[in-house]
Formats: sequence, structure tokens, C-alpha cells
Amino acid sequence: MNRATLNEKVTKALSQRSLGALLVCGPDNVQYLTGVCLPMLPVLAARQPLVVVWSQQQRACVVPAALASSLSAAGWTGAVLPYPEGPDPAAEAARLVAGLVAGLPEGAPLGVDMERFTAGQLARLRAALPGRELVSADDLLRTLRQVKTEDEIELLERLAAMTDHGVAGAMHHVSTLGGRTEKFMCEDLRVHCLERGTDLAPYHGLSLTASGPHARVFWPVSPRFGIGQEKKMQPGEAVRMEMRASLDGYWADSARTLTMGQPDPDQAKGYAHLRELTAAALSALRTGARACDVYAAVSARAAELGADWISGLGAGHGVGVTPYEAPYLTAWDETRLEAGMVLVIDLAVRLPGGEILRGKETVTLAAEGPRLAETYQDWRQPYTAALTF
Amino acid sequence: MPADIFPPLLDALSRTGAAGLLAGVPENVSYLADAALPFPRHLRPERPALAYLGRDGRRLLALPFDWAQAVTDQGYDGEIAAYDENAGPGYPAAARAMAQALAGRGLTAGPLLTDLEDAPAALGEAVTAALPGCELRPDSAWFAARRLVKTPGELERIETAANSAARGFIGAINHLEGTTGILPYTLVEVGERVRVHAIEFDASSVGHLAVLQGADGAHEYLPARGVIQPGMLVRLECSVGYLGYWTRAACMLSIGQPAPEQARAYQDNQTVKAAALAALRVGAKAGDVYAAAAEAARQAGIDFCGERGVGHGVGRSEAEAPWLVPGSDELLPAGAAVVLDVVTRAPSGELIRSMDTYALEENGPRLLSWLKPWNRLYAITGFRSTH
Repeated sequence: MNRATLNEKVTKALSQRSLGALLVCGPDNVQYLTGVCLPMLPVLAARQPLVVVWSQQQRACVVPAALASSLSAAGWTGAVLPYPEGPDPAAEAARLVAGLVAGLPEGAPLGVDMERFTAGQLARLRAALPGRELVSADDLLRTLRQVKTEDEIELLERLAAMTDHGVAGAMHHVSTLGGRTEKFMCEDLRVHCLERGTDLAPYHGLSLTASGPHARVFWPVSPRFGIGQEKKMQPGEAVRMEMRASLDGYWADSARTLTMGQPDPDQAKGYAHLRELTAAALSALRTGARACDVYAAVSARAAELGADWISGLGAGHGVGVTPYEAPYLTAWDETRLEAGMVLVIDLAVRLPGGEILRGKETVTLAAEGPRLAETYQDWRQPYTAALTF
Repeated sequence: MPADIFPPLLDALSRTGAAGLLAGVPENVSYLADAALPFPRHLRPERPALAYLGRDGRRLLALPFDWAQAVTDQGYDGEIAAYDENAGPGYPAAARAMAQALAGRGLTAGPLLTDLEDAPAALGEAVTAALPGCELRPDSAWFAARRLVKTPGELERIETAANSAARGFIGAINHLEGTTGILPYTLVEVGERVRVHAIEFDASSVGHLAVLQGADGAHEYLPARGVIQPGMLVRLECSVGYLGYWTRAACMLSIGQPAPEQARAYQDNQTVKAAALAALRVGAKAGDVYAAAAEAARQAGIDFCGERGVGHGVGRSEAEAPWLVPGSDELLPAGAAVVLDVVTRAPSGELIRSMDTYALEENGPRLLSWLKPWNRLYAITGFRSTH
């Protein structure tokens, strides 16, 4: 992905906010600013890379020494300052940051992603940077990340299409009388996405298949989150299939419905509600509208339909370097929607028997309106499994 | 296989003078709930959770509403204060939910021991704002000390995770054997097969996955790209969880019979690892294990990559105390679970890595990852036979 536009956008925002520099430690923000995906970062606790950006030309990453060469090999062209292992690596990192920002004009504040830095990390930073004002850059980062560049949009739309193709491909292997297990299907989801070219997606690269009674809950067979179990999908069941796939550090978030045979009236009605609510969300998705307006539109339509909509999940969210990010199509988020946002309309309804159907559509908000990512097939109806092969 | 953490935990809590514990670090939340959460570190700041444990043993969780079923299904029988996506940004929403639940019990005065200096600063601020009259005593070290010494139940879970990881490697390797002269076999497929086979053999979760070949193997991590090539060294890595307890694993393969220098490089790694293992003793300083490995490498002229230390603890997280890093004076206690992670470099540049998981016992370290010894470089050979 060409990152020049993104880098330019970041440095322009920095100057507009009169920040001396931007300093981030959150793995998602680190990836956003470096373009390098290191999936293990969230579990490294005190051993995080810290990225400092002054301008398009002046960028540095203070990184655990073991990760230094990975950063460069993966395409980071800024400076790399490795810090060694030891009893207090966060203090070492803070010391290097202090050296980096020492040349900033006196009084120029340092914008920091306060939502990610731990209190302990911040204390070390403050000790290493006496007199330097640290201010929250969370809003700045959220604003930057939620409006994508053309290159990001192209990647996200391509990935969404690959993922939809993968989900459909996995469904093609299901027959009503075949009796495949949920575990098998979870893996088939992954494999078919990988075959389309997505990356190995560790950690929260979720694949979920929940059928019949397992579909009545969000996390069947916990703590085996999204890896499925031995339960076989049975004739007549509705099957919820969810897939989070990743490519070059960006994410797709998908959910589709499979029925094991022709949908029964409850399944058909529930699925129709899901589609109606999706249409309501799309109708409300306009530049200048607020994120909460989309939620309100879905809420109103659900009431009209008498749909058992699970409103607690909201109506959707942004997607980018994480599968779940701002803006949030919820009751509280008053973010004005802008062209360039890529969103996942994420809706769930409950059937009379308790099963949860979930549908997720990736949509880009263009100036002229919402543009759905290409799908492998028309999903106006659930995928109906063949009787047998 | 219960984790059995509560008797020693409550005993330690009773000696602090605190009314209870309040945790915001995801692994501490899982620890107090004795339940794993769905990817909590990867969904921050949106979906934080908080856990309370009182001196009387009563528990309370504040978490996203769709996680409530996930923890109760794992046997959590405390109270739950759930919040949903419409309750506002995650940190204040979780903090308010916890504060309201504590207020409902008349527990807003504290003092509460917290781990909030290791949690995002914004979460700590939200908790402080939501509990204005409550005395919060930051003491992350107290939490770390509790988690450092594992119960037999915790060690059993780590042992299962360790051997599920080995199953993952073995399964992937078995599928790879006999294919290398016939089909282009992608690194992605090898990695995915590690995951599948770990899951087929008990694993509850697979976290990290890495497959690095040839020049890419000179680095800690790069995305898996390309196809398996004859003559290459391949490094497989994964982290595996079982019922919320984690460990890490790595193994090395040569594609075809190893060249003499490849085999020698692997044996060099095992030499350094043996020195580290010899120093891994209850009562030793964590830094001494590192020093033993570094000294063995120096004496033998082996290219030792000590910048990552030589290992760390595992448990509710895949990397935690004790950290086997230079200069650490931390004393290794009986009951700690440790991954020995010794990294050296082959003359051709690839990192050579092997990991094993041990429980520290008074009479020496007990190998938990016993299923498959990786003491020789594994050669991928053979031919394909339809059967």
C-alpha cells in the first residue's frame, strides 16, 4: 500500500493542532503510523514499540531490540532506535524518546495516545521529559484513522470481497445430510479465505460457526472462542458464520447465515428482518449525518417491523487496522459521517427459538452515498445448503 | 481441572488490609474471574473489563454484555455488571458499571488494591472518576506476585497448552513431509495447519503464529509469504492457550536433510539452552539464567541473540514474570512456569530458536512441554504415497 498520502495526512494534522510531535504506543496506532503489522504487540505488555512523528520526513520508532530488524524488513523507513531488555524496559524506552524530542521547541506539547499508554508508562515518560507537556492525541488519531485514504479504501474493499468469497466458498461444501461439525466449518472458513489470499490471522482472527442451540449465544463453548466444537450441524438448523480476516494488517469483519435446508418461516422472517434493518442503516448512512443517526434509523425500523433486534451491539462500526474501531454506530456516538469512512454495518436479530442471526456488510461512504463492498453473491436470502452431494 | 487459585489469593489478600481487589489489566481480570475473555487486549479501548474480589470472596465483573455468557459458561458464579455498546465509550462505561455495582453493595469506600498503573491511563482515570470516595491503592506488583506462583491446577492447564502446541507443530510437519518435491506448499498453509492441529488436540486458543523461512528467518517476525523451498531453514512459532492459560513454543525445520552448518547451528543453540536450563533453579536470580546462557555462548563462540533475554514466565498471559533478562535480581520461586527461549544465529543469518516450558520445583525444573523433544534439527524429507 502506498503510504505517502497517509503520512502527509498525519503530518498536516499535526501542524494544524500545533503539536510538537505525536507519540503513540498502542499497537493499532503503531501499525497505522508505521505500516508494519506485528500481531503479537498487544500481549507484550511493557515491551511496546513507541512511534514518534514530527513531520513526514522525521519519524522514529523506539522498539524492543528483538523487533528492530523486523520493523525495517517490513518496510518502515523511519529511524529505528532499539532499546535493550532489562528489569525496566519501559524506562529504557522513555529515555530514548526523551532524546528524540529534546530538540523540539520549548513549550511544544507532545500528543500522546492516552487511551493506550499505561499509567506506568506515562509516569516513566513524564520522569524522562520534565517540563514537557503531554496532551491527549486520542481524538486526533481517531479522526485520522476513521477517514481512510484511497489506498486504504482499496485494500479494505478488496479484503472484504476476498472474505465474502471465502465465506461463500466454505458454505459451498456444506450439505444438509453431510453432518459436518462446527469445528470443521470454522477451519473451512479460514482455509477458504486464505485460499483467496488473506494472511494468517492470529489471535482475534476469529472464525465462528454456531448452529442450532449454539447459535443462541454469542460465544458458544467458551473459552474456545471461535474455533468450533464437535457439534454437527443438523438439518433444519440456522447457522451463524462469522469471519475476521486480515491482509497487510487491515481487517475484514463478516457474518453470514446458512440454513441447513430451506429456511423455516421463523428463519425466513428473521433473515428478512436482518435485511430490512441493513437497508435502514444504508439509507441513513450519508455524509453529514451522525453515527448515532444510523443507530436511531435502525432502531426505528426494528420497532416498525417488530424485529427482535439486539440493539446492545449497536448498528455497526468502523474497520481498518483493527476489525472494530471508530466511528461507532451506537446511541452515543455523535461523530459526523464523512466521505472516506469504511464501516461495517453489524446487525443481529434473535429468532423466536433464541438463535442469533448476524449480518455484516462492509460499506464505504463516498460523497455520493454508501458503496457496498463487492460480495461473491447476492445475499438477499440466506445460503441454503444442498441436501446432499 | 480447577485452577484452585482462590484459597492462596484470599489468604494473601487478608494480609494486605485492603477490603478487596480491583483489576483492569485483562489477564488479572481473567485471573480473578477464573475465566478467559474473548481477545480483550485486541479490542481496547472499546471493550474493557474490570474485576472485583472482596475479602469475603465475593466477585464482581464489569464487562461487555455479550461476554457475560462467555464467563458464566466457564463456571464464573460471581455477579456481573454488564454494559452494552450504547453505554458510551468503553472505559467510562466499564467504570460506571463497576461503580454502580459496588455502590449497590455498599463497597465504595475501599481501600482497594488495584493494578491500574499497568492498565491504560484513561481507564484508571475513568475508574477514579467513577469511584470518587474510594481509596484506590495501586499495587501491580502484588498482582504479579500472586500470579507468579502457580497452583497445581494452573500448571496442569499450562502443561496441556504446551503439549497442544507440540501437537500443532507435529500435525503441520506430518502434512508437509513428502510434499516438498511435488507441490508448492505455502508458508501460510503450514501456519494454518499448526493452528488446526493444536485445536484438534485440546487447545482452547491459538494466539501468535509465525512461519519464517530463509532470509526472513533472520527477523523476529515477518508475515508468512511464499512457498517452502528445499535447502531452507524454517522456524515455526506459536502461542497456545488452554482454558485461559498460555504458553509459547517454537521449533526449527530443515527442508531436506540439513547441511552440516545448519545442523551445527542448531546444536549450538541446544548447547546454550542447556546452560540456561542448568541455571534455571528455584532460588536463582532470573538474571543469572541469562548470564549462564550468555557465558556459555561466549565460551563456545556461538552467536547468541540475547536482546530478548532467554525466557519469561507464562500463565494467564503468554509472557509475564519472571523475566529471564540481564540484570534481573528477581528470585525464581517454586511454582513458577517458565518458557526457556534461547535464540542464537546461524552463520547464514537465520535466528535459531527453540522453546520449552518448565515448572520450577525444589528439585529442579520439570518439563511441561514433554510431548516432543526438539533436541535435533527436524528434517523434512520423504516422498508422497497415496494411501
